[in-house]
Amino acid sequence: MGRIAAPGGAVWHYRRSRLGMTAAIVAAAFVLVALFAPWLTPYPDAGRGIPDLSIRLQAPGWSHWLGTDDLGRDVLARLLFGARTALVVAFGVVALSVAVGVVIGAVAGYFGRWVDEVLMRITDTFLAFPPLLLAVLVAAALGASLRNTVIAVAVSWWPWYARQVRSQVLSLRERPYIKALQAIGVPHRRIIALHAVPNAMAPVWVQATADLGAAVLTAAGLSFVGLGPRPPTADWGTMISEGRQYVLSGQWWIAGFAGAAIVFVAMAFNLAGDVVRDVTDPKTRQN
Amino acid sequence: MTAGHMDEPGPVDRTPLLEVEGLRVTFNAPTGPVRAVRSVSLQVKRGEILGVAGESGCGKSVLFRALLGLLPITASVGGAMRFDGKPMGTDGALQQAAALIYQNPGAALNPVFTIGQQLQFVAGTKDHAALCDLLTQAGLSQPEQLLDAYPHEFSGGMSQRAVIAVALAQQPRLLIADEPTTALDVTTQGLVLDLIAQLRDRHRLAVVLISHDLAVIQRVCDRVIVLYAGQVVETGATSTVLTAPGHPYTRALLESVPRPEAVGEELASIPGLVPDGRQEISGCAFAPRCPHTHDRCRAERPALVPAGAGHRAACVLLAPSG
Amino acid sequence: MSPLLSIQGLQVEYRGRHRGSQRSVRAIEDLDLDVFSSETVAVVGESGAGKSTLAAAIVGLMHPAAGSIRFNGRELIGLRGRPGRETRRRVQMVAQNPLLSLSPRRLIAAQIEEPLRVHTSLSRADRKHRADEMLVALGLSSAVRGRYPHELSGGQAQRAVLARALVLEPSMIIFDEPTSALDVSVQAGVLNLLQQLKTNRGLTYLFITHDLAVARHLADRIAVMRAGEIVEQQPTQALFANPQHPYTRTLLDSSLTV
Repeated sequence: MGRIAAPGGAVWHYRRSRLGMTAAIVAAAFVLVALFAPWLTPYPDAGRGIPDLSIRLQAPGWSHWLGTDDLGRDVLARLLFGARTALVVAFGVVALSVAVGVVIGAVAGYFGRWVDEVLMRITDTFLAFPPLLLAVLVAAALGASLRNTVIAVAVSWWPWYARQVRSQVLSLRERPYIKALQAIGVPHRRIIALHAVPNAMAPVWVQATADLGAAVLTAAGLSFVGLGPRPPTADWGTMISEGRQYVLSGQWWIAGFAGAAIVFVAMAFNLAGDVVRDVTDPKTRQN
Repeated sequence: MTAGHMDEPGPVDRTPLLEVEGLRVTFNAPTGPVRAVRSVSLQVKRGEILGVAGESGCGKSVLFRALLGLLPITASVGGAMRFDGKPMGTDGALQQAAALIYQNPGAALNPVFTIGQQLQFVAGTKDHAALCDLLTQAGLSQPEQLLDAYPHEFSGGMSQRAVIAVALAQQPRLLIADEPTTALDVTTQGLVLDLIAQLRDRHRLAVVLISHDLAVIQRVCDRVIVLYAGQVVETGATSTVLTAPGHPYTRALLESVPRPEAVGEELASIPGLVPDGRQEISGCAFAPRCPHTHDRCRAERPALVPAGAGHRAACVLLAPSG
Repeated sequence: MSPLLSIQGLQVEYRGRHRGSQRSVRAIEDLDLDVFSSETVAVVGESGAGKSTLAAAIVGLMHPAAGSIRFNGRELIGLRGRPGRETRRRVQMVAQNPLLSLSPRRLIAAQIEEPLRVHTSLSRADRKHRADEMLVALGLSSAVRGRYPHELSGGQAQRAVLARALVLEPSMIIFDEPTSALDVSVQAGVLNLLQQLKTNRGLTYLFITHDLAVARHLADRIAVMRAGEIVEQQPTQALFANPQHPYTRTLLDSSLTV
């Protein structure tokens, strides 16, 4: 990922933005919660999806802080385990889209001419579909599973990264240092990987951070329409979808808390994206 | 003539148009203060071209950007300034009376407006003849056609002349030219410098010409100040300073230029680096790189002392020991 | 004696950037130039004369429309694969702005080793050793090894760029305005170093500059370029004493001196 800024300077700046700092903490907390979910709840079995029909649909209270769902599982435990699913989806989607987007964008931008032409027309084809629709189509075609959710969302997202990286590399390839490396005879593959891409990544990391939140949101959308991970895997989108029927009868807590979790995490990553921008952009760092 | 204004020559001449006393500029960076200008005093009279010489990092551009209020908010500026005898804040008050010519003329013109429009904005008049007159004064022929031209249609030399025309449209009393010829070709450099000298004569402008190139300073400047590490190390008439320099730094600078009579010989380069704005300087700032350094140089900060008629240099070798 | 570098009838065109439009601009028009071994030839001229394009064409960054560029008798244009690399490593280039010529996020040591990695099969330790030797030879302290380009001064950066060019032991270096981004006092040091390296290593220089004083200081022979053509070519002394072409005279007359 390369060095973004002097570490001291970055922290100095981080402190100046309260909201950004809070967002970063929430985002970090989300990751920790996901990692340590089984140890954070007295009901890990409920989290893993084992029903206990004797305690169906209990309202929030002392023993079950956020209540239980229609199969008698602790909602808090489901939320904590759902965070693991969300984490895998978020990082999986972003990693996959960035990987594909960066390779295609960098190659197109670096070589230009017909290579650029071909790769960018392919990219444009993907961009022509509304992203969510494309994701639904791919997920439906591949079948519902956690892995396929990741692939489906990534398929609709990589073109954005490809465009971004292409425009960066397009300007980088005219830089004297790239010309110097070409004159030395360094292979193009090596120039792209070691000298062009690392200098094109700053805006990509900003986008990627913000996209972690959007990935959670999109994945929840897919689960909501039944194209998410299969039960009994805990998943926020599925919780909303299944909890929805109980909202009108007064058992709001299943869908309600899951929805809150999604909004919270999506917002946190979005704001964290702003922080990453401020930290990586020397212009905002100065003022 | 609509642009420009003829002041009668008179006793005003004895008081400088611009006086700067002990100007300091410090940037507040996250890692600590960076002193770009440590202490600079200078004067410019009407009808005079003052050269400001120095290498990159000596503070020559920052100095005038500070006076014009063009520095980012992280900069703090101290010292005193008088313009036309009246005290002024050092916070950009000069903007009203001064025009700035940049190094890169291409960047100083707005690409989406014609030259005529850009002149109009600044001059505040649509009078065709007046606008043409500005271009003619800047040495551009066929001004009528040029008014409708866009900046990209101009060569480097023409752009710089257009920038000068825009500067004239502000009716400045002080013209600040920051490396005005550095981005130009050799064959146009001299012409643009001559133009600046002509305008000085015609409008009795006070001109400050900032340049790293001593040949440029030599060509048009009446007086010169040499900056090193944000301080004035030498000042005097250009001919004196460049032929009989009083400060070892000025001498070293002159000797490092390749000369026809010394072809193939080793050039005198200055060892070491310009001190960083973060460093505290005790004693002479040039001492670590100077061939004549002795104990006194490290101990005391040299003041500007007379080195001849109207010629002063900040070197302890010139000061009586005491 | 046959020339080390021989350029004949060289034409270079820039294709119009806009899709569809076939307009091309000719940057170099039928250019002939010979550079003999151990000689320094300066190419002077103003911006837009095609000087940098000439450098780019020699090191293979631009594909000429016509003509030939022979190095040591071997045609460089269209030369590919192993023989291409073998020949090209003998001709290195040093460009104008040293700080911009170094990859911003790589350590200096890695950048100096880069040519060795590409052109030789030396082991990691040997590469490091060679790069270290070169740094010392160019008067850079070993502390520079572990720095990034933005942590270097202009003079240090230019030495690092030189080290990268010299590490393959080329016989010829093409300089494209190597000192115009540097302060005069730093420039003096770099010019001295170039003279020294030339003598010690028997290098041949093609030196592209707009600065007549620098050209006069270094070059045995000067070629004056204007609008893609060489208008005059003479030994340095003769050119300054007795310029033939009117453009050369304009150029000499307008250059400012202290």
